[in-house]
Amino acid sequence: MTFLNFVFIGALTGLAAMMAAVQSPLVDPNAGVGLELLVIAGVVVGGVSISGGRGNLWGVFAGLLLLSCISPALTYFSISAYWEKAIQGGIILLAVVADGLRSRKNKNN
Amino acid sequence: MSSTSKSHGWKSLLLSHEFILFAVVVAEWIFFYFIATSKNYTGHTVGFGTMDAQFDILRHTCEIGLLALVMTPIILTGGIDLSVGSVLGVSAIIFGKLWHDEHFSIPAAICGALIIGASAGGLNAFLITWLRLPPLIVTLGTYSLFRGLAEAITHGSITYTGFPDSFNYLGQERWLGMPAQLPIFVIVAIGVWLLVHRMTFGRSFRAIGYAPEGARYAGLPVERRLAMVYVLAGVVAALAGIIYTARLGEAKADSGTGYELFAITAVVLGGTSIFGGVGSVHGTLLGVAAVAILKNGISLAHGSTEMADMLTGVLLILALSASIVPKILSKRPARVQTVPSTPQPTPTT
Repeated sequence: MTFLNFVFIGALTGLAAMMAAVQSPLVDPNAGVGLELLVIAGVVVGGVSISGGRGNLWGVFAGLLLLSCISPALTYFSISAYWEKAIQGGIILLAVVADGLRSRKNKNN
Repeated sequence: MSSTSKSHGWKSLLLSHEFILFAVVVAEWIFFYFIATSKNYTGHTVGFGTMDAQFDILRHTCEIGLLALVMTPIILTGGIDLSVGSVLGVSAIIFGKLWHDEHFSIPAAICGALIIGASAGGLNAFLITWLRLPPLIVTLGTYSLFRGLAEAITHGSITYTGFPDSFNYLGQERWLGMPAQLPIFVIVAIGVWLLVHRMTFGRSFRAIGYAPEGARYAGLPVERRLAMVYVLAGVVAALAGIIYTARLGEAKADSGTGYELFAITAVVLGGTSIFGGVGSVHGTLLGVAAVAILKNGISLAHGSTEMADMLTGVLLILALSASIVPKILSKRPARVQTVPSTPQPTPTT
């Protein structure tokens, strides 16, 4: 199963690369640098436990949507776009702290 | 560590991870000495084999070496710190801003940057120990946060330049014939080596990495030890940021981008288990040397950086497989070698 997981994610990355390639006439070998960390962040913000065993796909969609909404939202509120990463980091930390507080509460009960 | 090699004699010393890695480093060095050294039209030797090139490699590796050094105790405890590169960036920016905009003196600005580094490490430590959150995800968050702060402070465009020569000396000149930042690196390396290999702290790091609950029951102050390694990483990352600024003569928001993965590569290549509990500082130093010689050697041999990145990846996978294969062959469960004994006697209840 682990083996198939990694084959599958490779295939999906190929699909994602194709979708990125059709968006612009330029194919850049540096495309997607840093995206892996953003993806992990989206998955975790979406409620998937980093130690495994808990999570669902709808949460992941919501998490990715939240993180990718930051940039347009900043433009809308006319805040400098350079705050995007800081706000992303803040959201990730909020999500993990909320998760940590919840599991702490559960342990105490 | 040396405990296994002592009990099995020279044979296991020759087969130890550090020794094999040392041989790889020497082989790399000899390879590039012959591949990347040439004579130019005036008859002067240029390329890898010159003293200047060697010093240049040391100079360029100093910051990553510092990050790898403090990453070692963190990975020993079974944790990870993805935020060191971002802490480097934000400290460099704070240093530049304090000096340039707030008119601090250079030593005061350095202190300010180190305090920022310590608080950044402190934030990591707080979240990891207080809520017992996984270090991977906490430092992934602070990785974005600190880099974002650096970009927000500079609006992505300002770079602080015009530092006095006395400061740039630290990054660009020679002191007693060697690169001026080298003594700092050596001092930090000795400090971390003593911490991990000659103090009870090192043993508690291994104990925490091997079995955190066991370490807690053995009476180790697990939270305090963890906080210590993350704050140390923050401070040294800030120091690396100052050296980086001095080397380039400018403080910019993208300082040290990607350095965290470089440092983790060097640590894992050096034989430290990513699951914690097993590893050494001298292994990390060899790992840094292996990656640095490979990258700089390929660029001096007019190869592309992509090829260097690819070969670094291949080297890492080979090193990981090399440590796994004997275990599979002897069918022992992983991570049974060098079980650390706890420094304090287990309280009997």
